[in-house]
Amino acid sequence: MDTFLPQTFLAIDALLIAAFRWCAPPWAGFLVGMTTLACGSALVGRLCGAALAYVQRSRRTREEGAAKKHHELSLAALRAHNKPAYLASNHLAQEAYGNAMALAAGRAAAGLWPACAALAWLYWRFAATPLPLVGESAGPAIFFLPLYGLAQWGLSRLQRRRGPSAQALGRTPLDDPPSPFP
Amino acid sequence: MKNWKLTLPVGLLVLVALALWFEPAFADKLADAIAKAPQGADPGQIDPTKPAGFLGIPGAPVVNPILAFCWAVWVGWIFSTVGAFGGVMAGVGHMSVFGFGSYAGGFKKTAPELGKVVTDSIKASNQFLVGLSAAISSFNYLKMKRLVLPLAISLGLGSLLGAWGAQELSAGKLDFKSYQGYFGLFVLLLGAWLFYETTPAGQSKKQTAKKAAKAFEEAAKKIKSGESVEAKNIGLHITEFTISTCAFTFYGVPFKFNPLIPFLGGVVISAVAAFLGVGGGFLLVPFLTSVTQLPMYLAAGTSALAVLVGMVTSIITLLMKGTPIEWHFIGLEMLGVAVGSFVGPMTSKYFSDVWLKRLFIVLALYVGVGYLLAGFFGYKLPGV
Repeated sequence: MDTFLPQTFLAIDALLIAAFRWCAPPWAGFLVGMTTLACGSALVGRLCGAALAYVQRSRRTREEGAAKKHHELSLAALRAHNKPAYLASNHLAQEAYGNAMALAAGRAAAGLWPACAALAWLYWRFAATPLPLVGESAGPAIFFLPLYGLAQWGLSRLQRRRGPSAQALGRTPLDDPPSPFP
Repeated sequence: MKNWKLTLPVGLLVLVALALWFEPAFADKLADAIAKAPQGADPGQIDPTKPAGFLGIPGAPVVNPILAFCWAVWVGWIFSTVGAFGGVMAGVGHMSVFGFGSYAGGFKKTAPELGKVVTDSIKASNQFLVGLSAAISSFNYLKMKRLVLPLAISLGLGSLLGAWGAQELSAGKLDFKSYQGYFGLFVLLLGAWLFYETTPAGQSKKQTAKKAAKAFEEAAKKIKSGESVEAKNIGLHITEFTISTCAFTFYGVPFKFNPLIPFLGGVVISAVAAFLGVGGGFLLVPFLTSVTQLPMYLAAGTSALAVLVGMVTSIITLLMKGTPIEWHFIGLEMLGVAVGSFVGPMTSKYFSDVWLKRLFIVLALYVGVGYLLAGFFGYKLPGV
């Protein structure tokens, strides 16, 4: 165990730094490496989130189904101008929503951990190293975060283009808007 | 604003990246605080011969990564099983289980500046772990256009003010013991609320709502289908929005509320969430549905903006105040939360919801009383 963790860390370090060495000019290598790391973090995060969504599917369907059912009942009560029934159903929908949010927080953590781990590695790897354009006036996060945001946006566009089957994975009642909504 | 789905997240990312521009200053603030601390091997002193621990401080607690991961799994399991108390357990981990709390508390008299930097980092760790997850998950509701814009603006402004104000007033000024005391007070209030929900009085509101909803459902089935709704009454329509009144119709039914109330609610809830690192998203929706009586889906989408604004404001303010962040620690904990969320749905069928709630009520009372006594009166209960 004494050497297992350090050796594992060094192996991961070798893997992550490889992309930074693909291009000869240092600034190009830094940009390519940072982009690869951002895209990789976003992809791994999405895969972890999707895997967790799959494991949670029955519990999610139950909680989000209850929220949707009570919400639709509240809308029916509104249509019937029955405010007490609307408030009652809305209250039950809100309770079920709280449980659904808690599950969603877990999926969000599954999506975010690779980015946090990548940031930790970047700060260790490039500690006290002058970076392109900014020198020592800023840390690696100033490059990583915007690239990570772009990677997430690109992956979501790709997922939408792949069509309904790709989007259907992990979708549950709460993702589908109820009938009055566009 | 057109293309707000792109502009908003990109804008928020740019703000966070700008805040991180100040990151080299963090090392200076921490280094200054370490330099001012007395040197030695006693509690409240820095021993430069010892290996670097938390935040790179020589002699600071070195958390076993396996312990950190396992505790985070526990937090994730609670999140996905009970739906509450996860943030509190995350805070307990940072303060008691990993030993950061007693370490920070030891500097109260010898090196107060260092103690406050460590306390702020503990707060930031709570927020990143709990609040960021809630903010990101809420973003999905924001994308689905489920929001009432005037209400979202009112709530968002309140959240911004509350989150900024809480960090501005406390970052760099709060010693660990005070933070522990306030955290304990919050946990006690949460435990009292959970206990109330298990009492007959607390159950009665839910039972009444269930009966009313069931009665309406039965009645609705008997009503002949084919009711038509005028097109102009479908959906949400804002009829009036002034500083004191927001009136709208939903399915032709009029609703009205004072925008100052959600503004003040946003200030208080975001301030608590930013100050303690817990709560926030989970409190806003119940607040909105009870104050404005909005349909739950609209309340969820509207509060999402407030949660996101409050969280980003809080993180930016903390970063600009020079609070150091241990990214590897947060990343490891997020992975643990994700794994716990895997395990939770598989094990939930073996545990009774009621007994789990009762267990957490007992934990909340013990932790709350323990932190309150330790923080404000200096008396330590075992294990806390």
